[in-house]
Amino acid sequence: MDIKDIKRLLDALAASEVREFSYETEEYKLNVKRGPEPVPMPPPQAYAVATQPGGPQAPTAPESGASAVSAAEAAAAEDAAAPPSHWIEVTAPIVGTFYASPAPDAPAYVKAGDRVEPGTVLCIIEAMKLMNEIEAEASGVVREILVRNEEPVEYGQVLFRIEPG
Amino acid sequence: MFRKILIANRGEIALRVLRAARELGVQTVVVYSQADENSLPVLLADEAICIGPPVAASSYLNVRNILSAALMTGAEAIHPGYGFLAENPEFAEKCEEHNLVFIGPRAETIQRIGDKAAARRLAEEAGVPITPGSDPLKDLDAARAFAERIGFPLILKASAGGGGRGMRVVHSQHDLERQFVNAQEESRAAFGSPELYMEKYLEEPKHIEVQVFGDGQGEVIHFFERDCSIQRRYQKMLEEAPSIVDDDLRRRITVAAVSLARHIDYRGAGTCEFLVDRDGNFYFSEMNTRIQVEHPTTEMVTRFDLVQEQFRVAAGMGLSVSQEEVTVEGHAIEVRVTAEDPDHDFRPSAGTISDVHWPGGPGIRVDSHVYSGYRIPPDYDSLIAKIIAWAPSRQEAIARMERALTETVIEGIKTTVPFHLKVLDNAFFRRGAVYTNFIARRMTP
Repeated sequence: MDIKDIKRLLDALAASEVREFSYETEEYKLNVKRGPEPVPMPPPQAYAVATQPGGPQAPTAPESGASAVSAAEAAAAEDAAAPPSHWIEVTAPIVGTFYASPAPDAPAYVKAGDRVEPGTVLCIIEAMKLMNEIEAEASGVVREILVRNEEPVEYGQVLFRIEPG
Repeated sequence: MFRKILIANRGEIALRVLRAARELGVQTVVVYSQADENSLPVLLADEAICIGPPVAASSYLNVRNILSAALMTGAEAIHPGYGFLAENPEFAEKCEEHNLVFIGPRAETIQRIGDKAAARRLAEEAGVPITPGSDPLKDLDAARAFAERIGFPLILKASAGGGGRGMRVVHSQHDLERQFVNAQEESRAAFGSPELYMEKYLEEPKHIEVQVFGDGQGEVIHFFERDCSIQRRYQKMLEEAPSIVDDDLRRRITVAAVSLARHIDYRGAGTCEFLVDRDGNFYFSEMNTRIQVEHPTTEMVTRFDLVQEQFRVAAGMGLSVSQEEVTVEGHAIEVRVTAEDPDHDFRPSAGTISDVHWPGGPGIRVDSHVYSGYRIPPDYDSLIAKIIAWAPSRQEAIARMERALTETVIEGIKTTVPFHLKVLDNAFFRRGAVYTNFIARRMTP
């Protein structure tokens, strides 16, 4: 079987309803498996996890096949400076204005290198005149803060990267 | 005119609004869900803000995130498109609370006319005919008396009902006697109450709707009517402007629509929907307080841009046109191309459009947000394009639409294009014998 044969086989399978296909000879073994249909759009941020508006983040590693694939693709596409894959991304659960500190003259809630525990307030996002505290979901060390004070943030935008532990 | 507006919608209508804004020199903010990150309106907008995950309840219906996005970007007004928040009075009210102009009617108008029973009352007050209906019928004698007065056919409906259950069409007193008790029992079993009422039943009506426009200061004009009788399960598939009615009926139905809109001091674009029977009687069914999917047919025959008109009225500039200046020229047909498989009971056909080629040439307009390589998210409705054909006559418009659809190439998914070609080729359609049961009666093998 050469590459042309494989392509023809895949074309034939794509045109049929077959979702899984195995073929075995003495020389080789071929397994073809198609994803569920319709395949949901992978989220733009592989690690972004939707949570209740105003609620804390629940960053988790991707588990489903679809997001695992996009995570791998995203990792491959990014340059060598990509953050370690086990770091947790904290994303904005709502649209609003990012505040690093509780008041203009107060110190920031957290800075890079700070240790956080579940429930530690990381920042505030102001939406419709309401101040929404964004809390850490897991314990770890804040490695990166990606948004500047008073910057507008959109849904799913990465705010912090935390090294768990 | 506004400097910047926010578009709280997606797909082809978000693009339609964006195009209207750009021609007026108005900047656009498009809000989008994570599923629409690569959609055309998002890519073309001056600014785009992600407002939530694919599920509409958390994104396109997320009032707080949408208003935050508007305030953050300094937008002065919000265009809601159709669907989603377009006819939500609370959203309209919240916009005003935050000093954002809602491009549509007042919240109170949406509320009043959105309630079916209230809308019927308002129509009656404005002298607009509604389908004759009875009060709750206490017994068979009351039903007989009503039938005597109104005439057959009539439809028995459960007061507590819905979804077609407990409904019986009756054609004679004998029929009524036979069906009354059955309908009562069906109603009691299904809804826990045997109470029935009756309405005049229209056999093979046409669905005709009038495009109205109000400036909110007492002035209301109309842009004539459309025929939207070609429907499948109450979803419109193909629309035409003008409808095939005589000038007298056209005059009476447009006058009725304007009377109703004037009665509620309507602001912005709206549509009064009517059912028209074979004798030329028409009955008000509902009013839609938004721009409609099929508005391009009206734009093609009147040559006015209804979305830009919405902007003008919302900005307090009033209508740019008087009733005398609105005339109809030629005929326009719109087909809704959806990602559905007509060979398999119109089941959704989401996926990636590997290649697309739209038709062109004289008299053709395509409103679509998709492109080659575009992935149709499974989260929203299946409309991928509206193809509109204009020609001097209906016959020529049909020929032009057939020509356009045979040029159309959409690969990678199934669409309703082949189905539309069959409709255009149908002898009943071609001679205008089109009623709301057309697809069930003429297109089902």
